[in-house]
Amino acid sequence: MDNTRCVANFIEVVSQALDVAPESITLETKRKDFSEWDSLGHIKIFLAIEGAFGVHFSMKEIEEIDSLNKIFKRVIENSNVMKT
Amino acid sequence: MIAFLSNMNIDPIKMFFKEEKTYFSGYNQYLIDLINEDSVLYTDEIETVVLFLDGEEFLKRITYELPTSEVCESATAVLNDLFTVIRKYIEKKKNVTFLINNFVLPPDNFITYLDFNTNTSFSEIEVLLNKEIKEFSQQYSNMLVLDWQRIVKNYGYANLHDDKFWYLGRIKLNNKAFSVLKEEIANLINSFRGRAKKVLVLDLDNTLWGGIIGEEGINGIKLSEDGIGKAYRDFQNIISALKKIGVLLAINSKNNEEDVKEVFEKHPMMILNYDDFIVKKVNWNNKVQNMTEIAEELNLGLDSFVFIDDNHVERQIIKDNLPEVIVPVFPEDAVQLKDWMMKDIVYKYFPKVSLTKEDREKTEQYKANVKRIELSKELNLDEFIKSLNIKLTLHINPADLVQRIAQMSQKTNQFNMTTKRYTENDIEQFMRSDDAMLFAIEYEDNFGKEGIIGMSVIRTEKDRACIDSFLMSCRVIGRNVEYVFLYKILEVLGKNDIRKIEAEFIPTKKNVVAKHFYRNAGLNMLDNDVYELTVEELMNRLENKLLIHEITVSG
Repeated sequence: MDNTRCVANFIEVVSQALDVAPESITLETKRKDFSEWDSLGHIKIFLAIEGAFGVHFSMKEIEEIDSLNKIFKRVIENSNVMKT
Repeated sequence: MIAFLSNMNIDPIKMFFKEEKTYFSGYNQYLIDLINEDSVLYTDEIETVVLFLDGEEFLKRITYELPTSEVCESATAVLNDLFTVIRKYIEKKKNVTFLINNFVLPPDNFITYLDFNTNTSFSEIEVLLNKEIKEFSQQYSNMLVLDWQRIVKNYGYANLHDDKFWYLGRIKLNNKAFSVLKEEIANLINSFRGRAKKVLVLDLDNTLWGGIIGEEGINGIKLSEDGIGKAYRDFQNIISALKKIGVLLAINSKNNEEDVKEVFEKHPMMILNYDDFIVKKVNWNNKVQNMTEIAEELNLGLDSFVFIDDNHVERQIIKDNLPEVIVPVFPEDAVQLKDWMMKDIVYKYFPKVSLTKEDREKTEQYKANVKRIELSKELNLDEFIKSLNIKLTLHINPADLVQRIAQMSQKTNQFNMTTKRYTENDIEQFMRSDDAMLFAIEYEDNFGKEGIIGMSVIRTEKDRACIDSFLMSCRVIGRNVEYVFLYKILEVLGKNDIRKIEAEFIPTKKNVVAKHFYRNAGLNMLDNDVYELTVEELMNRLENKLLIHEITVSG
């Protein structure tokens, strides 16, 4: 899967989790700048990402990660789904 | 609106309930919400209440106590307090559908093997509480138990729970758990509101048994007590059992009815009887027409139909023309039939929350009412065939295909005009001979390649040609491929100065499907089953049947 489609897939999953339009977020979106990304939204993002791409995050990572870019990097590194 | 109450945070299930309006009571606020008549739960908007309780959390005070009989009693007491609260609510809100789950305690606990080897144990408490939940629920017609135990049995406790999310935000379940829970809730509500499907329409070949009856015969199809034939037998067992819960069965199959009846009457391994099916459409009509007729005869809407067919093209044609019919994807491997049937079909489309005497006798009732209606509905099949993007390759005297061509000549019974059997040696002779030509046709469409699916032997004498053999795999019949094949042969013959074409149909027990092919193609019938026409005129008459344009000629 090429990079553009990976990103689109990823954005789709996150937007579904936050229940917002895919156009309203990008990889540059940061937690502090986005009001829907509250503490419950934060958990929903990781629930959805783990479910969709089979990647597992540690509790520490979940607590520390604050941008979509960082989540995306981890997904790319660890997921077979995104590589194929 | 669906209201969710829980002793955990189950708000993420909203990700899966996009279509419905939802209300989430605060974490652990369920008792207060149920009691407080000013809460949202008491508004008229609420149609369904889902009370989903985590067993471990519900019993957290006793998790690290020895499960003595006193502990057991205190657990029951807590549950009965909850029942008092629920009772008050449902007696006030009789129109609300109330779902409550049964408990699943964590599989591991500190008393280890004592848990199963003594009578006062956590597993005993679990059994006891779930029995009470069931008995309580049965007192109210608007209350149902959501069988969380069944789901955990299916997927495993560890695959549905994640403590990480619990510590982060009081969420005990993971994404998988929320998605299956959503399915289960939707199935229960559908069933409760009478939205389950009513009719199961089935194909036969490669669906109720392995293989094609018209080709392989009663002794060739796969249906047995061991090997893969057992998978089909198990599948039939489930279907047969569905009759007992009021599901109506019907057949929609392209086949000769005599072949099919023979299987039902004589095959020792058949579970289903021909009479189990309330309407039987076993013919060579297109399946859309058959399906419409089944609906008319049963006087039921197509939106209560589920259609099971192994052939993706047949499924597509139904989906495109009758979008109300549910057409699930068929498993690739027959090994999966049983599991697929239960999980993806029965629970999803035929869920039951109550069983009446009428359900048990439904087939008999309907049988009496089946109307016999003749229909000839005009369908836009041409559009469908075009949308398949069929690509054909015509092979002329192809030396590398001798083996496949001989095999087809030996095996094809149904769409076979003369049923002459030729060996590889015969085929090679035809190819070398000056007064014969051999053609083969290769097929591909949107769904994939089918390979060589037809062949023809043409004998020539001066400016006359005679169709010695013309056969095609039944997999592709009904998509005009047979007409295009004939047309392309004529084109080649024309270039070789052939003016006149002769053909003959030799009837057998199995080739009824091909009986009118030459007549439908436009040939003039001279005598019974003997035809002729000029090549030019036949090509003219075939023109309106040429829906497939992408044809390569090779050789």
